[in-house]
Amino acid sequence: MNCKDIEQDLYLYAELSAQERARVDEHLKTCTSCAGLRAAIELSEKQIHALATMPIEAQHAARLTRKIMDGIASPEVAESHHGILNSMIRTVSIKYACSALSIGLILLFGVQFYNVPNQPFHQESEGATVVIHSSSVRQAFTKVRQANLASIPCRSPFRSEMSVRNCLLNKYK
Amino acid sequence: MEQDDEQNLIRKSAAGDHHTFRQLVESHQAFAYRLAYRFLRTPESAEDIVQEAFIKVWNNLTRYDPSFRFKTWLGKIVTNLCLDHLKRARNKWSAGDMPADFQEPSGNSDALEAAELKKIITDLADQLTEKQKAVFVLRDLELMTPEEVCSMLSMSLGNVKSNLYYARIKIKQGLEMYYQEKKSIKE
Repeated sequence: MNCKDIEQDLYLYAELSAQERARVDEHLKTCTSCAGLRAAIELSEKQIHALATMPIEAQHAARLTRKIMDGIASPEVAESHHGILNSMIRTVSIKYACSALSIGLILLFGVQFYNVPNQPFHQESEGATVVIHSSSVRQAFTKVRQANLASIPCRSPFRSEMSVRNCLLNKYK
Repeated sequence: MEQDDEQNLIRKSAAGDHHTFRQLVESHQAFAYRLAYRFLRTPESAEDIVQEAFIKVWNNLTRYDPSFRFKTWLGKIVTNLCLDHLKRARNKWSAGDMPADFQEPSGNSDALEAAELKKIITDLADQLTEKQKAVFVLRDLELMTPEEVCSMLSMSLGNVKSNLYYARIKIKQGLEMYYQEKKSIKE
């Protein structure tokens, strides 16, 4: 066994089997260079171990526990509608039903979309179109004007909204 | 905690028992926090990771494999979350963000030396690759068995040993350099 072969074992001494350790120990007895390296490794292992044994604790352990428990759904929330809904959604059968319903709706939409009959295009003469449009606009305008005219006597800056409304109601009665 | 008791707690928690889950949290919270803190070095980040890990545990309790120790499973979740967090934060850290416990310590010389040692080793650990750091933290700082480390990191024993070897070389070299510099300053 040469020193190069054993170098990795010197760093992984704690992970070696008893047999491997015995082999390394045997080498260390005769090789001062490897024994020196092993001593240096042991020193750094001690320093690392000192760090490993330093206590590390959360400053407010109880607060952290509360934070964790708040993070998961509380029993009250679980019993609420939201909780029940969530648990229902989690159920596999409901998931399948929702999926089937979604697919059904998509198919229905597709069928409806393609079944819409093509509307024949009615070509009106330009004059007729103008007549239809102008009459409908005139009718609407007349209605608005009549309504405005009817409301004029009732309106006054000195009257309350309620009295204006009563006035209008009486008028139309 | 006995293995059977623990399994019992896990079973009840998986059935939705919050009070039982609280017991499970209380018994493993310190370990989860310590592990997260070793990776992240700030109490706030460690607390956030611990909370996230336990929420993950709660949501996946029905998938828990009883052939593994709960601690190993929890450690795996915490480690993965920490590694993800480190990936995201890798370029964000600057001197101004250094955690308070790594500022100049006060107290007697032993405390100063301990704080200094802590700072050096954790700084050196930060220079390791992700895998090396994970293996080093779990094996050398959390003192877990090589098998537990393999299980937590989903690595082969050979891979764990290889990463551990390189991590230990780098830490040892860093420590030697630091003490040499310190010695030369004193002289």
